[in-house]
Amino acid sequence: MVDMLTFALSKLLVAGAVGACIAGSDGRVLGEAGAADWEKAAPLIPAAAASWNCLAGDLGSEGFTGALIEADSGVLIVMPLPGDDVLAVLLKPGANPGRVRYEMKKNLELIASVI
Amino acid sequence: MTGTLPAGISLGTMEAPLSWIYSHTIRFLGKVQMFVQDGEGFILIRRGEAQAYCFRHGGITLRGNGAREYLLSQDVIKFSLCKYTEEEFGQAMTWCREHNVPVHDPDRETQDIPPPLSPTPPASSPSPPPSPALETGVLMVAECRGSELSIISGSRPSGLSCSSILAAIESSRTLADAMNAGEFSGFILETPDGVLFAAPTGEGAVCVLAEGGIPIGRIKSMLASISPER
Repeated sequence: MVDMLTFALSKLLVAGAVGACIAGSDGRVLGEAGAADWEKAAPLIPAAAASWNCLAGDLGSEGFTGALIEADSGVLIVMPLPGDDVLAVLLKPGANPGRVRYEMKKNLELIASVI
Repeated sequence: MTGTLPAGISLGTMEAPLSWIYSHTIRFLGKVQMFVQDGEGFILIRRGEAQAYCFRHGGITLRGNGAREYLLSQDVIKFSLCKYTEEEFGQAMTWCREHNVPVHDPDRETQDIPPPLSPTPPASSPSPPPSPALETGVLMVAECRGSELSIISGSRPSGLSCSSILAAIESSRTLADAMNAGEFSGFILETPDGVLFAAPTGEGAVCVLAEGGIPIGRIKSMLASISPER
């Protein structure tokens, strides 16, 4: 049986997205969907989010609203959730980041409500 | 930077917007050598059609569209017209290919060429300053070298430092590695006020700050065209 969180995350697996995950502020995986392996990355996400928030502060903002990391074998899109949790989605090369980003924003409230 | 290009015959030096150059080089074959602040570059023009752009400022070299967009952002440019023979023009095009400057050559179409510019019809009066449309939304282009943030164009947010940019790059790279995503090439940070694009270089990083909503593809092509001088 698919729980609500997995269902909500699976809505993000579109347009080349291969995995979605919520990393807690302690680096634990709170929920995931798809085929990506988050065990190594999730503990690193809180520190990365802190560095992005620091940079956003330098730019005069209170915090970051999204980050897109590009590498030659994939793209990672990250968005902050309430309570210092972080939503992350992994895309395969050639995916459509704009479409995935749109789905993430659209479903952010739903995902936050079922954590 | 144009020292290794053929010198040609100088027709003189003047100042004008880039649009003026397009509209007054319909019969010109040669190099337009540009000087903007401390930077220097050139456009190769064959009878009104720009075929290669290159501009260098400090350790940054803009090639192709990046150079064109930077030059278009300037209200006025100091430049020299240097007339070439066909042979000299061919030598200059070869120099560009050897130095990774994208060239538009109708006889040798390749995928990495910039789209040719359509020359503006000759104007009877001085042309107005170029449209800022290509640069709309871009607030800053900068380079991090060590701890020094060097502004290429635009203005620097007062709190912005290289240490924050490089730390964010390192965090992003670590995360990409942990996801086995391959070689890290850069990141885009969104805030409520704008977007920062940053990419690592051999000596630090280059970054572009833009207003939110700017097409990401345009900024990515601008970042790709910025590369450290080798």
